[in-house]
Amino acid sequence: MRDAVISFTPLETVPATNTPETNRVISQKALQFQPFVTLAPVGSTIAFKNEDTVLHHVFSFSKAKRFDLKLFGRDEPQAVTFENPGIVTVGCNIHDGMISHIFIADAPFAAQTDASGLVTLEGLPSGVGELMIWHPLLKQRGNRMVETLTLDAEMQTYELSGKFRKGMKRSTDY
Amino acid sequence: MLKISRISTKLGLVYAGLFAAMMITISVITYAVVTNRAMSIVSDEIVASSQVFSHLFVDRGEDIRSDTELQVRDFGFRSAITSDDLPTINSALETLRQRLQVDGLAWVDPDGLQLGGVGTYMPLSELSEQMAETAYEDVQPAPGVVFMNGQSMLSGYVPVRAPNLIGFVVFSDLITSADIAEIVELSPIPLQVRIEPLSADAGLTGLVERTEADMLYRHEVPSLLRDKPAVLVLTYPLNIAFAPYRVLLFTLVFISIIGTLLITAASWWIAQRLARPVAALAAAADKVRQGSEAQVSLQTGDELQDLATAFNHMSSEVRQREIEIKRRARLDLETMLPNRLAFEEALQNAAEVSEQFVVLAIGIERFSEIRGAIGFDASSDLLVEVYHRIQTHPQVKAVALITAGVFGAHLNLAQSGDVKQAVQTLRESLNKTFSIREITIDIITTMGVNPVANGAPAIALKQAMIALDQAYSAKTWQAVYDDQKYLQTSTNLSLMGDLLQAMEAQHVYVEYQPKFDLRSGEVIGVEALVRWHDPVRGKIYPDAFIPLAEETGHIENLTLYVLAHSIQAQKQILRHGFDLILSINVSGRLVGNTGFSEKAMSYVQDAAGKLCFEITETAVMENPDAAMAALDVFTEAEIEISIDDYGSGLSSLAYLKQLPASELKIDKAFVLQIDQSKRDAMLVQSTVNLAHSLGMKVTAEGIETATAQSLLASMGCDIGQGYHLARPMPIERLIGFLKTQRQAHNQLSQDSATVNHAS
Repeated sequence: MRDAVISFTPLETVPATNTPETNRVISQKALQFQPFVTLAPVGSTIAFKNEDTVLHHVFSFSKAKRFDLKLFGRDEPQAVTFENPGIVTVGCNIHDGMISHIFIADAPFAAQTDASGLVTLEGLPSGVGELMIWHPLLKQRGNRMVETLTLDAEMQTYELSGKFRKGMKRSTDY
Repeated sequence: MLKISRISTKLGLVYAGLFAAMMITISVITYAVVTNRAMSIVSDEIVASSQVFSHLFVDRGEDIRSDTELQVRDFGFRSAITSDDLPTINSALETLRQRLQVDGLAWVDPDGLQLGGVGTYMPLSELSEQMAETAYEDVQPAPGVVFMNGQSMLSGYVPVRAPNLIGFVVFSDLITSADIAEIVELSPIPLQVRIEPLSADAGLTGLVERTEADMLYRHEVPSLLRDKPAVLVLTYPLNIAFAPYRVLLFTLVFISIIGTLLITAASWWIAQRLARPVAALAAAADKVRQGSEAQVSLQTGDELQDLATAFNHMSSEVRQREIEIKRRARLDLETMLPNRLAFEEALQNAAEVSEQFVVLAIGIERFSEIRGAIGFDASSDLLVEVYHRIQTHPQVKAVALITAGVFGAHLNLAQSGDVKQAVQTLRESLNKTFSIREITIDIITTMGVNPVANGAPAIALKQAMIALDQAYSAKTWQAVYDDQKYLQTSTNLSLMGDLLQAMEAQHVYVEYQPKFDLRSGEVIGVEALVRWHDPVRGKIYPDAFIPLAEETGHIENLTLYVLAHSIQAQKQILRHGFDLILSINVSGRLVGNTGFSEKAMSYVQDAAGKLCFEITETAVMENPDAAMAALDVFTEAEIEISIDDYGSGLSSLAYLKQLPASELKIDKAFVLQIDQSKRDAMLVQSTVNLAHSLGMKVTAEGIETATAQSLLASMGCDIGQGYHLARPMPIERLIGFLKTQRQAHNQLSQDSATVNHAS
């Protein structure tokens, strides 16, 4: 399953926080947000770039970040800074079918699965930590699962599985 | 059971009953058809309406839902309800509620947690699970009915996306009675509609039921909550359903009643027309039965008139025939003279006029001999002549031929003293010579006279006839009816009836009188004498009942009874060592009766000693040939014959000589006087001599004195019996008597022997 966000938070050591990013872009293209899921550390600023010929009105009512980017067109990129961790669901007030999820992670280790559903977290400290899996369609409360793991120095492979909702109509393929 | 005898009632009942039955049948069928029809119309309406109503609910629910769905997309609304400020949320909801015109809205998050609410909305707790299941599915939950506090409401919920699912807006709209009234108006019939939860024990849905007063139909309507189904209940009062047909039914019943009354009246009228002539005919027929003539006049011009005409003919003919029959019934068909019936009617009429009159029974003596001599036709002519002669007597009012040779005459006399005179003159006129077919005939008439006072005609004639019989018996030419004499006869008859019972009850018994050898003084035999002791009447003398028994034929049984008893007695005596001759009186009537002879012989075979039948002299003399034959039968059976009561008849010596008799019994009359009358003594002496000369023993009965005994002994009389020697006695005493006699005799013999020896 692609677009799942996997994060690991060690409980014994306090690692350094990730540096906020500023180069992330969520484009609106062919009446769709691209990408479907964006993973960014807390404090990151993400640019919304309209590549369609029509205007878009991008908004979010999510608690982590409410914003409202009134109609803007090509060459009018908008930037939003996400100060709080959490999930921000982004839609377009004009086009109901447009949806995108932004995962603002405060975990030191976080990554997104690729098209084959694989993800690799590197440089994890050994010891006890929380492993979190999130996916917008995961059938769990808050669309997330959390497990406590004890890691050693070796590289370990986990296979995680969960149940997923069907995708919504006119949504991006997963 | 009610019995109906009148035609009018019968007709009325039958026709009215048939009509009523028909109308009832029609009414019942009409009622059934109409009811069915009404029910089926109402059923169809109810079903159709229920579907319409159900659609209305569904459509309304869908309308609200789609409106809501549209409204919640409003960006401002979504901004408001995602704010954490409750007043803001509720004010946004209130605005939406007013736009939608519903009673309540609530705002819940995808997990069912309520975030806000305005107005009256459904209980949310029951919804959360159902919501959670469908939260992220792309399905549109259909609105439906929800119940809360006894109220029903149309509820539903729509998801709110921003653009992901951020919650649900729940809407509720109360179903008010006004709402229901509004939809009921859509139905062509005034249904009553309500919405209820479908309880498990309720009736089936989708089926029209008929309850006591209503028709009821349950139609399931969409419910929002899956496990709480709701039904639309439609009822329709039956009385409203049937109202249009009630007029029809009332009309039918009204027609039935009026029709029945009309038919009853009509059939009664017809029956009256029919019954009146029939009643007239019945009355006439009754008159005919009573013997009077009756004619019925009918002008109905139908079969009844024909019947009346036929009846009138019949009535006349019956009358004619009856007159003829009556006439013939009152005639002696041989002589065509009035008969006994005519006479009795005449007497009846006379009795109505006067209470005192005289009835005569006039008998022609030896009429059958006269008839034998001159022939039937001539004797008929003679009777007619006699009839006319009686009729011409001035005092005779009516005459009739009662039986052959006996006329009845009715004399009407001014004074009773004239009776003798009238009878005398009548008899004289009849004793004059008749001339019939050139033959002269003299007749002798005997008159039975019955002067009647208050007598019924039939009895009056009967009594006259009895008087006639009494005259014949008395051998006089006339006798007046004697009641006493006649009553005697009936007493005698009852006595004979009793005799049979007395024999059965052994009230009749036998006594035995010893017969002595007058020379030796020894008992040589006994005479059986019948006795009757009636418990009520006391002792009845043989003289009283034996002649009667002879007259009435009972003598045969009586004699056999005596024979049987005395034969047994003889055996008993023999067992005590006495061998005696048993004498039994046989009535002259039985001599020559072969039936009796045969039976007597069968009894006699059983006898243990010698028997002797005593037969009266007169009996033998009256019928000599038969007597001779019978006596031969007896002697052949070695029964001795004794001529009883000798001297009372006029026996011819020559005849006496031929009889096989071995004994002659001198009549008591001679013996009783023998010691006083020289003449009787001479007669007895000559009889003894005569009997001895014919080889017969002589027995004297009625010896009451010692003188008589010694006289008779000296005359050479062989055997004697009488009170002086021994009275008749029962068998037990006889045996004692015989024993005493034997002892005495033995003593005497010894004494005489001793004397002889001494001499």
